Amino acid sequence: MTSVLSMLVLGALARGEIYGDLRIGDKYVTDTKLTLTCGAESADATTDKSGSFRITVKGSGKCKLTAAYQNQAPSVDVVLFDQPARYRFVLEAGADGKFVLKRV
Amino acid sequence: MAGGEKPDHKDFWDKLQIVLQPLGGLLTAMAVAMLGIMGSSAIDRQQSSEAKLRLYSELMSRREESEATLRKEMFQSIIGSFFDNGQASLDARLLKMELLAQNFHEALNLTPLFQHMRREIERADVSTAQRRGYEDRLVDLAREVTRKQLIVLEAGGQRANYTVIFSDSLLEGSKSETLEDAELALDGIERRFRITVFKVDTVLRAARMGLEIETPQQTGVSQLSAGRYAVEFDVGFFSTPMIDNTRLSNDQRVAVVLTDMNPAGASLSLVYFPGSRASLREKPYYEEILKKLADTVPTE
Repeated sequence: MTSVLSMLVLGALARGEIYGDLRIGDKYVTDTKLTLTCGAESADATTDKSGSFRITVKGSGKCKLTAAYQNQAPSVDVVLFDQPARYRFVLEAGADGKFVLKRV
Repeated sequence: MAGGEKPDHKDFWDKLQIVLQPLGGLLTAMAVAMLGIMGSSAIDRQQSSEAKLRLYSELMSRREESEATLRKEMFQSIIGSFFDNGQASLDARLLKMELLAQNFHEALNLTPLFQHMRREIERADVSTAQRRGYEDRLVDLAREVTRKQLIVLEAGGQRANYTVIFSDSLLEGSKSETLEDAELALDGIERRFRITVFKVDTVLRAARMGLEIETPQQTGVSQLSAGRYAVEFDVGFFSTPMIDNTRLSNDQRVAVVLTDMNPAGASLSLVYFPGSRASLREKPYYEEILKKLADTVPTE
């Protein structure tokens, strides 16, 4: 019980960071807002002219990354670790025209 | 007209022949001389280039030789002191482990040494904070080695990354999780890889995994090599991809790397790379060498 509580406290106090890039096929996606949500905490970042991003948020463990792209909000689950983690994402359009965010 | 002088019948061409005859000889001599000079200069150039090549290869082999001697002495000194001196402090032993791992990670399977060090840290009579410090240092070293190897392997091959979110059933070991297939091509050979995570240990930060490899029938792949097979193995921070990998046909390799793990999930990478990038201790099979030689023979 104590260890679970300490894990929750540590998780709430810790800061997690992810960085990487976003693409559609071979093209990097620029100026796209990304939101990283970990429980009640969230942080935003925008991909730069090379499609790269870096987001730091209060919290660690399982989080959700959402991309605001063409009036859609595809999302993917990510895990935040003690050390910054590199994530490379790709947006894939489905047959219905809906975008899916995937890690590659 | 009998007995009279013969009239001069030499026309323009006859006169030209008289003038050009000695000139032709001269031109022939000049051409032969030129040919000789050019030929000798070409031979000189070739000899000079061969001499340069010989010098370069001599220098390279001498450098290799001296480096090998240095590395051999360094290795013997570190590994010797590692096992002989039981009195050395944990800090000193960790330093030796760092030297060994940073300098010989491409040639040695360091997993047993990493595990041995971990056991020593567990047994050591030190405070909890010190123990955690030593453990972190050991894990950071292993991850640094893996990171370096991944960069080298990815540069010559293909990589796919995965995020695994741990469900309660996966943590309990009652249900496995199959990750999305990765279809990768290397040197014209396409393969499909499927990772299944059977069990995870978030304390030791290791996982039991299965890897299914499917090689479709295609040009360059023998009928025997085509098909589907599966392997099962443990992956942790002490597993290094250059050494802990699965050998595939056509002198290729595949490795699964645990890049990070916490109680919420793990980050994994699958790297598909040519055998030439694998550990220095790994040798290709003779038939693979022969096949490569046959493939590189220039066609007339």
